[in-house]
Amino acid sequence: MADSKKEATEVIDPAVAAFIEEDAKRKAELEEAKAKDFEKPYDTEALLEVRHLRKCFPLQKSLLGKVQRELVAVDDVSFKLNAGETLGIVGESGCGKTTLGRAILKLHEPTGGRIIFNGEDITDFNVKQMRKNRTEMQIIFQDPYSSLPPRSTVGDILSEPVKVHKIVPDSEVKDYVMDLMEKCGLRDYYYERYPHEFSGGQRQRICIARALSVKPKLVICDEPVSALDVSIQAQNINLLKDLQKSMNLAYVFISHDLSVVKFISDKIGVMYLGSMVEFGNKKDIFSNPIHPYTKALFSAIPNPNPDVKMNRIVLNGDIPSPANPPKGCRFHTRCPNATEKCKYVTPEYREYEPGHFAACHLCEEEFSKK
Amino acid sequence: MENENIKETEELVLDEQSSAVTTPDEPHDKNVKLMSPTQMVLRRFFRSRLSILGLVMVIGLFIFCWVGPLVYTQWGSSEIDKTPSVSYSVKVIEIEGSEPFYQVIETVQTNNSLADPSVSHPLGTDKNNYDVLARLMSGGRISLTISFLAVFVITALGIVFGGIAGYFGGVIDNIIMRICDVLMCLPGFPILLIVGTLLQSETLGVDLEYRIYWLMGFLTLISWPGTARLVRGQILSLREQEYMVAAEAMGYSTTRKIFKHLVPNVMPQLIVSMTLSLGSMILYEASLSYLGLGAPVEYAAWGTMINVSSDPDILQNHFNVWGPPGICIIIAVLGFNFIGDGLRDALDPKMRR
Amino acid sequence: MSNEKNTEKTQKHYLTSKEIKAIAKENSKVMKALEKKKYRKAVESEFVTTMKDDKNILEIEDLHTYFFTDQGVVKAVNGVSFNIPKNSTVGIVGESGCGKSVTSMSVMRLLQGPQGQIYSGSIRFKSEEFKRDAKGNPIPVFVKDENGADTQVQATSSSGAPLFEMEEKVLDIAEMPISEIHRIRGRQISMIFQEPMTSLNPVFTIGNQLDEVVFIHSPGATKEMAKKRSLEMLELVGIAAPERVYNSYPHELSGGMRQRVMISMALICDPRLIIADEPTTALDVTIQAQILDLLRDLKDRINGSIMLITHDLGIIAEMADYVVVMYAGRVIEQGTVSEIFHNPMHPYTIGLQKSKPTMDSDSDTLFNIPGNVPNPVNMPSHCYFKERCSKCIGKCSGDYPGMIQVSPTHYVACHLYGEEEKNG
Repeated sequence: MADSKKEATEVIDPAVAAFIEEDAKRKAELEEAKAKDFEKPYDTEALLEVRHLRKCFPLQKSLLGKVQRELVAVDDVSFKLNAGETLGIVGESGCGKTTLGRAILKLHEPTGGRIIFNGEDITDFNVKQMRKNRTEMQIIFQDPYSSLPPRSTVGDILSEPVKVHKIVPDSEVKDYVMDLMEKCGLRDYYYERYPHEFSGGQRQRICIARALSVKPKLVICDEPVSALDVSIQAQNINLLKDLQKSMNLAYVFISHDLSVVKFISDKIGVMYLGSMVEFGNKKDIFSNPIHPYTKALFSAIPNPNPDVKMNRIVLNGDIPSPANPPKGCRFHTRCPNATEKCKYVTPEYREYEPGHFAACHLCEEEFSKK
Repeated sequence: MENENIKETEELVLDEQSSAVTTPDEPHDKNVKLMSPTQMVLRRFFRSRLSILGLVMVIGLFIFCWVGPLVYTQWGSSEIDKTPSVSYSVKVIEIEGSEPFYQVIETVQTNNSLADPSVSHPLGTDKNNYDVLARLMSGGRISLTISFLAVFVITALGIVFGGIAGYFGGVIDNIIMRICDVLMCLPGFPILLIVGTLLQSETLGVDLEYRIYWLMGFLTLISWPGTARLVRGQILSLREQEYMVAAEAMGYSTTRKIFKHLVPNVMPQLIVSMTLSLGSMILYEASLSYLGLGAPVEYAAWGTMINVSSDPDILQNHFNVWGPPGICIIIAVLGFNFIGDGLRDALDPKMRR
Repeated sequence: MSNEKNTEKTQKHYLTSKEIKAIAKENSKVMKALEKKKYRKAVESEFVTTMKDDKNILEIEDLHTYFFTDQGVVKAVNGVSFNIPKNSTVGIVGESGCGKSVTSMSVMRLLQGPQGQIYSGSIRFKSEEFKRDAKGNPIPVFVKDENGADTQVQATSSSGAPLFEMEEKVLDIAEMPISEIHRIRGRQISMIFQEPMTSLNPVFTIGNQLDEVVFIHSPGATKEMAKKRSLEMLELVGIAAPERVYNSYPHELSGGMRQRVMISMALICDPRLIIADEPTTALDVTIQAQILDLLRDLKDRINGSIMLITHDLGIIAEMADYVVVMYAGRVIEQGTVSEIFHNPMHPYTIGLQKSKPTMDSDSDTLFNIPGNVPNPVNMPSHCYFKERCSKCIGKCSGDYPGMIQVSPTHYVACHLYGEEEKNG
């Protein structure tokens, strides 16, 4: 805030000054609201609740280790997810979706905000407490080649977590793993094989089986099918869907591919430069997208029908660097309808319809008219 | 030292050309037997002729040094050939006015030094009346043992320091790496010469027999940074691999992560660097001995045996004394380097071209 | 498992060292012959041919491109034939390993030797070259005076580059020795690569790299002309501040910008054919939309054809006029874009279209093609898609199906349609 005040003296335009003041006020209000939010009781129904999650990475450190510049990878993200549901997170590269996924698992220590999992606040859990919690939440990675240790057999890879966490008695481990492999569409003789013998799609199935071996309730799927060919993609998406039904899993499905996210998700969050710009049920988001970024994203997907003439909203410019995000609304540099206000005032992330959130000034105005 | 980060980072590049060639086939058939990664490495290793040659050379040397003395029992390694040799020479002495008469001179040599190769001494004897072949065997034992010990100590130090630096990072990493930088600035040889002289002095009074061990020990102390850097680099790149993140997400303990997931994957690169540095250690030992810092003759390694060639007479007339140890050193160093190169290619087939 | 030990012993998945030696011997023999051919000195008549259809700019006929690996011969492109008509976009679609990129590499002769070789087949390309006099110098075009006679002043193009007389020649790229390829690469056929991050040289400015292309391919160009041309091209690809980009280094630009620069570099010599190899795969969705818009816009403005390689059917539908569907090194179906999308005939094409979730569909499970692409070494003699096909008939175990013409432009390689054609 000190920064914005300094600039205010430099800029002469009173309108701009007013905007800056408004922004400062908003930010203060936001801080208050945040503090209040943290005190609210936990939602017992939701499996995962994230409140104002923030994750910064230091970019520059002084000699004494003091952070001088930082990259805000995830800024003020909140959502709830119920058991057995899928939340799709969409966004372009550098929007912080991967960081969000890892921060939820506490693979990256969150800088601020709360993560409430299964009615327990796990934000401040230490390594030991987390270790016990690891069986409840798991992750599947994008790259099927680097996510399996090259020198272990599939059997070892799958039975190691089972043994470590004592999911089943030692004598039953092999049967358990065999059962799991069958569920994930892996044949029993793969047990003795090494990962390098498999194609990308099968490796990804091994990863899925490994994640499920500890009977988790939540699985973070970080671009699980992006590296695969279309026909193999379909196999694995169907597998994930089947497993969800039979094991009552909740997914956080991170992808840049909107059509895949649409297919698998119940709720969808759209991220842009570290913050959530729109969040809601799949139906709401697709039938009634609020944020201009969401609209542009939807229209950018090539349609495999040569006769449909696309009425495409093409965004100008490039994605700004997350290390140096624009002031005000982060999207204003590329927004086709950006106003002067958007350049200075951070929009509020608010509920427009029940369960449908967005952060945009333009929509705010539209709604206030209604 | 020279092979820092040669890892399969570019394996992720899924360009058509390479994937068409390297995409593994799906194991369709249950009965089809497949190879483990170790088997594949060995297979690729044995496919190269040079590496087989290297292996033969090294194994040959080992057999020669350790099994040799059991077969060649004629002479012990520090047994002085005391067979007196008697040579006669005849001199004709002519005194004026009388019949010339013959003087027979009998020369009796108590020691058989600098003998030419013969049946009893296949490689002859040296200045100290030792049998060269027997000395070659015992010298080889000392040379190989010293270099193996040195490499193991260097590797151990390298793993410990590099591992700590790589795994924990931050301030510890910084401190260890700066120490490495300082150590790598030190000129190894001059310092070893100084230390060698110091060891000889009265105050330290190290037994001459063990001086070379002390020197090599000192050498390990200043040459672990290369290995430490290698290990650290490996661990840093492995830590970013998603299977390590997966291990973290699985809630494995730190010890399990290090010993079950990190170490086995660092090992291949380490083994390569170890084999390659074995050769350089043998060379170090040889050079130190040649400069006169080796053990006394009866405990000498190959390097000291070459040392005698500083005598011009021996250099010119007695190749059989200094030639064989030189050849042994060449064989050993070449052998280890061939194996090291072969292993590196076998571990990382994409690096070959 | 114990009772299976015997079979395990007999069936090895890997090759014995004897087999490896035999393969290596055979490979080196073939590779040597092909390399020799590649580096031979040849007179022009050896690789000048005629087009089958004058409307085409590129005709690929029965192209075989093999990779001679230690495991055996990988037939990455195994008898591919298709044409690219003038001023049209041909999309090549297929999954990884289907040989679509290798086809384009063959056209550019960029295969990694000595393992990758064009084994047989022909790639006929209609090139436009400088007419040369007996000494091999290009013949300049002179400005005509009032009487229609040549003056001594050489005519110049709009950007100021001197003009030379041109002639059309049909060259068989597959037969050309590698020393002659420079006549085609860059000037006649240019390429846009997938990875804009690594396709530009990081130590030179964009201007440097663009100018270089101009210098190489238009003789007699001056520095000013080259710069003018480069700026013109940067503007053409929708870069707002061409002067700034001209002076910057690749690392200062974003991915989308770099891809634009790559496109401008490909266009700078007015190529007759542009090969775009997955031009948008490495880019974000919104940036991809920008680049696709640009390419479509350019298609009308430049006087050339585009060979678009992608795995994304959506992009094909949007951009292409003709579509070639490839699977395991062979063309399995080809036709106009509406034929392929509205009346796909090959089970693989149908499956591919159904397995991608679309924005409009609301189904609960995705259609999926079971199994994987077969091993590129030792391909079966029957249809490569047989194991994964749901409409398999008895005939499928027989020979590989030939191309069947369904309509004047629509061809399919599948036994399902052969019978119908004969009967009807």
